[in-house]
Amino acid sequence: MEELEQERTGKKGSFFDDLAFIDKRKATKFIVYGIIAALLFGVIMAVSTSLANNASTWKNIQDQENKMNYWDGEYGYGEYVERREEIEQMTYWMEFQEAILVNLARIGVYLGFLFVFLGFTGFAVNDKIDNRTRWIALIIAGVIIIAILLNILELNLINNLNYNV
Amino acid sequence: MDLNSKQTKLILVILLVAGIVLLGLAPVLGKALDKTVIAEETEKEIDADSETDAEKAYTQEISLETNERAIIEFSTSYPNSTATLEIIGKGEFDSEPDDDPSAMTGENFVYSEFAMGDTPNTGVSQDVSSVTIENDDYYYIEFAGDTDGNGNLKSVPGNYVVIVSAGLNETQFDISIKTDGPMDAGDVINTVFNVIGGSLIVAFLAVVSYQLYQRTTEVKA
Repeated sequence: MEELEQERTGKKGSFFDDLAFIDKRKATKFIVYGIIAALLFGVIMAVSTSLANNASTWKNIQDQENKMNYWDGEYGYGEYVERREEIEQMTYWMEFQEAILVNLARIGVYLGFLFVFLGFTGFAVNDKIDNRTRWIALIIAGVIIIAILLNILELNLINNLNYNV
Repeated sequence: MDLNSKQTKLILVILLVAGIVLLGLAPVLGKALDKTVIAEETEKEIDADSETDAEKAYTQEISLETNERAIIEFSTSYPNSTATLEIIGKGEFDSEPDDDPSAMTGENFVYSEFAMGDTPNTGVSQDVSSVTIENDDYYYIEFAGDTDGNGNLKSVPGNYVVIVSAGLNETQFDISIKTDGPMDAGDVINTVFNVIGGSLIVAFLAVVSYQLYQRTTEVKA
């Protein structure tokens, strides 16, 4: 009815009004772009975590290189100490960047999955698609939203546990 | 802008080459200009009288800012040569009435001994205010105004005089004095070249991407 009303009046509904009338093309777009966004932000998270995990190994290499340069007489003890402190600072940054980047990227991943969820919901509410496909789409959408919610709730749970400890 | 035109191609080549050259030169020039040379002397001769007369000694004024350090390489490989190096505050140097180096109190500095495999701080001398070279000695000295007593430099900005006086004989020695500042020419050039070089490469990629995008849409149309 609302769709007919829109066609009659020529007015375009809001984003939320349109959600229930996602056609197949739009739903597919939502799923594809959502997956691409989730993958991109997921890669950022993975790179950031890997960088943080390898910070101590990087520090060991840099410390050794610093010592070797000192022994080679490239610079004196004063500069050796200065570089040692700079390496220490960089290691802390490599560990801390995870806290900033992963949290920002996590928002991107959730938004990506939200669009995937909306895409599958679009398939599920589309009466031009056969019932079996609609059921499968609904189940996938349900699984995605439960996964997102569990992830968010689990994070809160971990935070709460940390505070309590 | 047409990618096929000669002018555009020339601009793209210039952007790419200039970007690569600048990025390549940045670390090389940065390292080469990392330290500012204040003085380089080889086979410098000083009289035996310089032990008690600063006018006959080798002197070099240096000016240090906060967190700036002087690096002095002091050595001799000449026969019968004995020389002592001290670093005196400019105020004290100018106010010494007899110009006698031995009466002046030197500021503390550290020197490094590059013993392969040793923990670096074991090779560092305790804080000293003078070093004496004879025969084939070599010292790599770092000075920032003072030390903390544990072999670490303490930055005390100001003007200082490096003074080298002879022992009993006329003496020859080599000396090199450089300063390594908190932001010297090497650091500035490294940063500027990296930023400009990186920007040129980004500009190159942007123009190429735009042209490819235009071409794709033209084909579709």
